[in-house]
Amino acid sequence: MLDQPVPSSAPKTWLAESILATFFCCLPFGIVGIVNAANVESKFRAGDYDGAERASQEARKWTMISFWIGVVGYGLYALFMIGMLFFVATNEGHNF
Amino acid sequence: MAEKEQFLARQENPQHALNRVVWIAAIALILVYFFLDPETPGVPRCPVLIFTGWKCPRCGSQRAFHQLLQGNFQQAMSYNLLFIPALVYAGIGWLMENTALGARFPGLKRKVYGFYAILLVLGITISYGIARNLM
Repeated sequence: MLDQPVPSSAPKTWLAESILATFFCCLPFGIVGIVNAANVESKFRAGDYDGAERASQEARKWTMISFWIGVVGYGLYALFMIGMLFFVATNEGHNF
Repeated sequence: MAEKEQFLARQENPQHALNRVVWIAAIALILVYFFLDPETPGVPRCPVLIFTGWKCPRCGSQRAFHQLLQGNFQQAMSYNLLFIPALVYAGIGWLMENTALGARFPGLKRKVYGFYAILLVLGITISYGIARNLM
C-alpha cells in the first residue's frame, strides 16, 4: 500500500449531476447520489482512495439510473399525450 | 497500423455517444418546458405530491422551470425556493468539473464543492422539505 501513488485530487463526486437528477427526475436517487458524493470526499480525506473510487462509481451509477428513468418516463408521457391529442382530434364532433 | 488507428478513430466512443444523448435530452427538456405550462390540465404533478400529499423539496420545480425559461424569476422562486439556486450551483459545479475552471480555482472548488459543502446541500434539501410542509 505504501508504494501506491497518492492521487492529487478526489475522484469525480457527481454532485452537480446528482442535484440535477434530484430536480428533473428522481428525488430519491438524486439524494442517494448526493450522499455518495459526500462519501467520495470523506473517504478521500481519510486516505481510503479505493473506497473513494468505489463511492464515485456508485454515485455515477445512480446518476445513470436517474437519467435513463427520466428519459423513459418523459418519453412515455410524451407518447401518451400525443396519443390523446390524436384520439381527440379524430373523434371531434362526437359526443361520448 | 495506420489503417487500424483510422478505424479506431472512426469508432464511436461510448462516453461521447452518451454525452450526445444527454445534450439532446437537455435541449428537449428546455424546449418542452419553454412552451408547456405545467399548470395546464393533464400535465402530471410530482408523483410524491399525488401519492403522499407531501411537498417534497423539489415540488414546484416544473412550474418554476417554465417560469424561469419565460424570464419570470420571482414567479419561479415563489414555486420553489431552491430551484434556481440549485441550478446555478450545479451549473458552476459542472463547469468546475468539466472545464479548465476547476483547475483555475482549485481552492474555491474544494471549499464550495467539498465535503462540508455537500453535507450543507443535503441539510438544506432535507430541511426545506420539512419546513415547507409545516408552513
